[in-house]
Amino acid sequence: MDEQIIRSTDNDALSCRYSLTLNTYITDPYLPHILTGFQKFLKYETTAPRRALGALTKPKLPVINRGSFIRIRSIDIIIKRFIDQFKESSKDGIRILNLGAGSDTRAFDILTLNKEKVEVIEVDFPDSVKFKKATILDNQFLSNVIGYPFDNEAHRSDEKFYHGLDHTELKTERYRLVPMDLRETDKLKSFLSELSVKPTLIISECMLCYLNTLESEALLTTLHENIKQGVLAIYDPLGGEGGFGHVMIDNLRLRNLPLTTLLEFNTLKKYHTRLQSIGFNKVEIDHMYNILNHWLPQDEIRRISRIEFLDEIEELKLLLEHYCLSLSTWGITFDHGLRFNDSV
Amino acid sequence: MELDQDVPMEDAVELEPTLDEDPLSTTPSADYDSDVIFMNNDSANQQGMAKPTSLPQLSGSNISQLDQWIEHLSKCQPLSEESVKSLCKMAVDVLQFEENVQPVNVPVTICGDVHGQFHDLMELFKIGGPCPDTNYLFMGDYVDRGYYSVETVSYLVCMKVRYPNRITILRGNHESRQITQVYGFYDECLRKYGTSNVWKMFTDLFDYFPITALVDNKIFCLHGGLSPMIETIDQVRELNRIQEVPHEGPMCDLLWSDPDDRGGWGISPRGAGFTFGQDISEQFNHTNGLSLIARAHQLVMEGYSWSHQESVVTIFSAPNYCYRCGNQAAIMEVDEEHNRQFLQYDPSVRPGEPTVTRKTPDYFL
Repeated sequence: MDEQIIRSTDNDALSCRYSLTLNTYITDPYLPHILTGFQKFLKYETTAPRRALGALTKPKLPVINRGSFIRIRSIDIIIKRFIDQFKESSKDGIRILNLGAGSDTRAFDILTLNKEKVEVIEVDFPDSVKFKKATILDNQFLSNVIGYPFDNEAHRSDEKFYHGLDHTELKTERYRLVPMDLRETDKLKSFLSELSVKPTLIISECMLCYLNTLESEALLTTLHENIKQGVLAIYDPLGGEGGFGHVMIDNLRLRNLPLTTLLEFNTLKKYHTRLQSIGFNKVEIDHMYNILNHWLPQDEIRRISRIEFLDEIEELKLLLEHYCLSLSTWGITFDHGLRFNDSV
Repeated sequence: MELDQDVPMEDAVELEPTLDEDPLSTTPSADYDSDVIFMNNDSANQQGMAKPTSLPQLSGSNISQLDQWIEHLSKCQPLSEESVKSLCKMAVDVLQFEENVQPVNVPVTICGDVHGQFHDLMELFKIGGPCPDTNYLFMGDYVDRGYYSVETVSYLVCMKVRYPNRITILRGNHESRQITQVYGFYDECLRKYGTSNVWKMFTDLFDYFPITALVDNKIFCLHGGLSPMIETIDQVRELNRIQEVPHEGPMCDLLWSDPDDRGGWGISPRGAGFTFGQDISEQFNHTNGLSLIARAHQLVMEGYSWSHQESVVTIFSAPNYCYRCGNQAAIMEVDEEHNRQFLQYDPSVRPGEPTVTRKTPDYFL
């Protein structure tokens, strides 16, 4: 699939995150800096920057806000529990590896909250990496967060600065932003083989669904074989057995975005089996509607239900039942205490 | 029953309809354009006296005007702002004399949410038979979410004014000033007309929509569901409905509540209305001599869904709701003998509409 089309989905994710901050579902002090980068550098990346920026700030319906909220929150909860359990107990600290991170701001938050023993690696397409790199290097705040020396003199002209950047990795002591097409399994393999062994949380947030069966299988196998102590958190759409999945495929085809495995691994059971057949022995999974109802403390549920009026109860349920979150664990025991579906 | 519209409730004072002037305080025909005059003279109503026993009769020029509009709208083209203004004035004259519990005869075809899915509404009339040959009862939610709320509600209101005894249009919770500002109708009006005038005309008109209907004294039809403050249908007749949908109270509940598997009354996850159990439905049907409560309001994947051991049915008439849900739609035909038949249908194929210009609904990507 075309790299540009996959990358465009990052704008969707970013605009959902932006809408959550606007509506006070979440606070994200890093997001304004990311958006500044967008405003500055998008014009060098796309022929229609104004349209892209317009789409980015388009208001979202309550049902989308609620679903985006639980997507972000659930993964944040996993990250927090992973850090809480392993950061102190692991001598060499821990690693968080975000695959297809795009414009995600989580790395900045993790690095701010954990001044030591936590390393964050973000991997994405070379063009995405360049874009994020430009945003970070142009921004004193973000540069400080990742521990990169900020050079005030470097960018008197945005254009020269942007075009002067290459596609190479951005690396500091605790943060790496790595350009890689995850479909190139050999490169991934050699990259992973150079990493030291420590508890590693791998995040695949709406990424696997853009790969075909063979590509995703190769990626998962490579992760499993080359990481010794891993927890793999995958958030993905789930085709289901009714009309929803077919409509989703039709709709996203209009954006030239094929979801080839959506109807192949269309139920929790089949998604679970898929992961087990790769070799992951411990796999836990549930759909996002259950996670919304089971993972959040009551006071938080009350808080978000007061933010905006949600008329579309049935639609929210339908949407969230068509997204799943799985945790595959190997080489370590992750005592997350989170409730998953026990009937799968 | 006599609606005492000269003594509005507190809420109604705040949210007084502002379609032109209060239509009850002036002679309606006086400020009409010459080509849109009703032939009846209902000046008696202006003093709060007896209501007419029949709906106002349409003049020939009104009929041809309405037919023109219907023809225009059936091509999914919005009316001009001026036409909407005339249409809404005519519609007030029809709807204000309908009852809170509008009586409807069999045979009738009962329909649920449409939500601006205009092409699917045309499909509905194909499946159910054209109006006025078939009698229709719509249970609200004509606007919001779909891309053609303006055309959809204009069309249905035109049909209502043109064939007042053949079609009944109830109010749904989306026929409200507040909800339409979140869920799309307001923005659509602004986009299609450049100002919010048309939105204001329609939302002012919505205040006049009847809130429930009673089919042959047996099937109680409404958008949402029951209210803990309403035990008898007569209590619905006592309400002053000519106001914005309130945030709480019986009128709110009728437009917002849902049946639930749990018995008794429950707090609604929607933040308005209540959930009600089978015990409540059975008691209500028993008290009021009903065979069935027909309601809409909830997306159901097959287009219709029974609850409470067939004392309540949910009907949803927007197929592939929001162009995303993949659900079927349905309508319910009730014949002279009260036999019920459900007709299910899928989204209409829209010939000539290039799919590439269609907006992709949001997903989590």
